[in-house]
Parts: sequence; structure tokens; C-alpha cells
Amino acid sequence: MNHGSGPSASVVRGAAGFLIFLALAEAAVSTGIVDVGSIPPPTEIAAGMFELITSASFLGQVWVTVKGAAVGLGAAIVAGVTLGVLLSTSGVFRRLLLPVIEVVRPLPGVAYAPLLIAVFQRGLMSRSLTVAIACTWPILFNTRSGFDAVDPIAIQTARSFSETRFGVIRRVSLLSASPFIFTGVRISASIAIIVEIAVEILIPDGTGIGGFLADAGSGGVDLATIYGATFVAGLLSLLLNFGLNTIDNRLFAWRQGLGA
Amino acid sequence: MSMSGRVWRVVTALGSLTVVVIGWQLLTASSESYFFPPPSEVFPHLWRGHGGIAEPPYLSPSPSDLFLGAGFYEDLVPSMWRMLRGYAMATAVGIGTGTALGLSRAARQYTDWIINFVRAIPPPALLGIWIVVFGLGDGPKIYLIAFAVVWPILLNTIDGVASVDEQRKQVAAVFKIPFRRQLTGLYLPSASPKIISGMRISLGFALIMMIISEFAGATNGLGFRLKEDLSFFNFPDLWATMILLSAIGLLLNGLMFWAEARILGWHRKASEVSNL
Repeated sequence: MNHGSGPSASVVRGAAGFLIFLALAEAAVSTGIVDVGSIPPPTEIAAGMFELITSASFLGQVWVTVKGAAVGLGAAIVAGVTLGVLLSTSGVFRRLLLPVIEVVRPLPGVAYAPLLIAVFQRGLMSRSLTVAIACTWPILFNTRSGFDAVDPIAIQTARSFSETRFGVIRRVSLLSASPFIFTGVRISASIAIIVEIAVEILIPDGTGIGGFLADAGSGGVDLATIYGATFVAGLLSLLLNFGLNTIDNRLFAWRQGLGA
Repeated sequence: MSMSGRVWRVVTALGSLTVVVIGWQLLTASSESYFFPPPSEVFPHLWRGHGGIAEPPYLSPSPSDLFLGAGFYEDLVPSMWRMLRGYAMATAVGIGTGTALGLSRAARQYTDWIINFVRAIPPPALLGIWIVVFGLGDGPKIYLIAFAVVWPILLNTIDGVASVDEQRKQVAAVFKIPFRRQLTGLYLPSASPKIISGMRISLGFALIMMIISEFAGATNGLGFRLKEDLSFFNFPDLWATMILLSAIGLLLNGLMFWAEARILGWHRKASEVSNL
């Protein structure tokens, strides 16, 4: 490793690259070198973004999307961890449930959306249930790999201190699998936003970022605003990633100490 | 695992699946809800036309049709063809760009923010604009699939190429191996396990994006049919398409694991030999 160009150099270069990219895009679009009437210059998109972020009605739609994704992700964490623990600790469950899971899992979560919309109508319930189905799998499988990676000596030690089976799962296995589970949650968080927006687009009723985009696309809103809304969605998922990364580093710093 | 153990496992697996299907049949047959038609009604929709609002079936009972129904040609093939083209585009762009960025540390640093910013955009949010920009044809759907699935391939290629063993690079330099041959003989083979695992992640994701890309501005395809079946309250056909999608997902998974095992089996042997 070259210590001369540490993290600060990479940040400087990253920022420089990004600014150069924006400047080139601005120059290309506004001078007409690249004739794409369909792409507004970055400054116009940024203005559109600013207008959206300061508009209460758009922020309301962002909140709809955030709520749907968050409720779905929460349900997926409960379902994924519960199923993962059951599958990892009980041979009977594994034998009976795993074949069913192997058959059900290949069906993409978004494919449940039409059925769920039919049953529960458009709204938080159908959207967040679709999100929950799509997000359960990564959490479930990361929980399982976390349980597979538990140090058997730790389990034996806990047993010899006459911990009950449930006590071992709770105080040893679940704790040592928690970084893996959190990785699953991080993967699922980006899936949650994608699925949430996809379901909003399926039968748009003007709610959520997806609904806003679907309305804007058909209703003659200017392109800078549409691109602006798309980038706000990007910003949202960037913030979420950053937040979860920070939590991961804070909460699971001890993992580094274990040399894992 | 012993032979009898394996047989026992298959028996319990099939047993539990049978119980699930029978339970599904019993529960739905006794219920009045038309959201949940019994499997005995759903499965025939895969191969028999039902007229009226019913969609053309994917399969056909007639051998002269090669057992393929109109729905196969009108919806399944267009969907899969778009998915394949989007996936191929993502693979080409991902491996190409990823190799270039993997070779140069400076290039990686300069593009880091751009990649992270663009990658954060949830792909379905682009569907609206791209329909406006590229029209209602196959274009926006293929680009959407490619945009969504390029990231695992790109990032894994960068990672794989950037982490090629330092000693091997020096050997290549000492013997003045031409760059082209270093690429095909050193960088790409060394990076192949990472590239292939990125391609596997992307293939599953391509199926998801294929469905999403047909949720708006489509006139055929499996995702389009899901949407149509919802608007016409045609639930037997909706379930039939869901079953078909599970089967496709299962098939793609199997295909990719098979390909990975084959290609990486070679890789494992090759690196074992060179580690002697």
C-alpha cells in the first residue's frame, strides 16, 4: 500500500473527478456539442432538485416512500432473523422448510405486488408487504451464514456453564452472528427502496416518489424536475447507505478486534 | 453423505412440498376468495386457453406446437430476449470499464464518487424518464435492465483486476509480456472468480428488473401480464405467471451455479498447479 496518498488524496481525487464530470456534462449539454434535447444541463437539474426539496408537497411524497420502505424492511428483519434462527438451530425446521423456501425464493419479490395490491388495495400495506417479501431473503441467508460461523468452542463453553439451549442462541450465537445479520440488513435496505418505488410505479396513484415520477412523466412536467426527483431518490439511498455504514462501523467495531 | 441419507433428504423434501401443494389446494378450494384460486384451477392456465379475458397460455398440450403456446412467443420470449440483451450489455460494459479502472489506481480514485452517486439511483426511478426519452419500444427496458445490473459486475471486475497478485505482475513485467497478453493471460483469468460471482448476482437481479421494466409503457412481456391480470382481476392467470417466474428464477440459478462450477473448477486447478 502506498501510504503517501492516503484517504485524503482519494477524497480529493474523488471530489475532483465528480466536479470535472459535472462541468463536462454542463459544457457538453449547454453548448450543444452533444445534441441530446432530452438531457437538461446539471445546473438546471440541481435547480429542479432544490425546488423539489424545498416543496412541502414533494417532501410528503418522499416521506410516503421512506415509510413504505422502512415498514417493509422492519417486517423483513423480524421475519428474516426468526426464520434464519429456526433454520440454523432446528434440523426438523430445516428439513421441512428449506425445500419450500428453495421453491418460493426464486420468485422475485416485485412479482407479488399485483396480488398484494388486489388483496390489500393500493397503500402502505400492499407496498410494504411486497418490500418485506423481497427483503427477507438476504437477511435470512446472512443470519444463516452468521450462525454457521459461530465459534463452536464458544457454544460449548456456554453449555458447560449450563446455559439453556435458548440461552446459548440468544447470548452466544445471535450476538456473534449480529455483524452478518447487519450486512443482510444493509443489502436489504437498498432493495427496499427499489421495490417500494417499483410498486409505486405499477399502479400509480400519485403517491410516493414513484407515483410522482409516473404522474410527471405523463403530465408534461419539465424534464429538469423529473431528473431532479430521480436524483433526490438517489440522494435518499446514498444517505441511507451512509447512515447504515456509520452504524455498522460504530456497532461492530469489535469485529475487527477478533480478526474477522 | 451416505446414500440412504441422501434418499431420506429427497423424500422429506418432496414430502413437504406435496404437503404444501395439498394444503394450498384444500385451503383455497374451500375459500370463496377469488384472489386465491386453487392450484387445480391455476395450473391448467399454463397450457390451456380459456377465452374471454384470459391470457394466451405459455404451453400447449399439442406436440405439433412443440408443447409451446401463444403466450410463450408473445410474452415469454420478448421478456427473456430483452433481459438477455440488457444483461449482455451490462456484462460488456461492466467487464470493459471494470478492467480499465482496475488497472489504474488514479482512475479508480477519480471515478469513485461518480460511480457511487450514479449507482445510488434506484433504477425504477429512471423508468419514467427513459420512457419519455427513448420511447415505448424495447430500448428503455433494455437500458433499464443494463443500468440496474451493471454494478455488481463492474465493482467485482474492478476489485478482481486491482487485486491481482503483485508477484505475477512483476513476472509479466520482467519477461516483457505484451500488454494484450497480460490482459488475457493474467488479469482477466485472475479476476474471473470475482467477475463470475458478480455476473451471478446480476443475473438474478436482471430477472427482477425485467419484471419492473414492464410495469410501465409495455405492450407485452411477463411483467406486463402481471399488471394486465391485476387490472382485469384475472387471478388464475396471475398465479400461472407467478409460477412460471419461479420456474425461470430456479432455472437461471441452476444455470449460473453450473457455469460457475465449471469455469471456476478450471480456475481452482490452474491456481493449484501454479502454487506448487
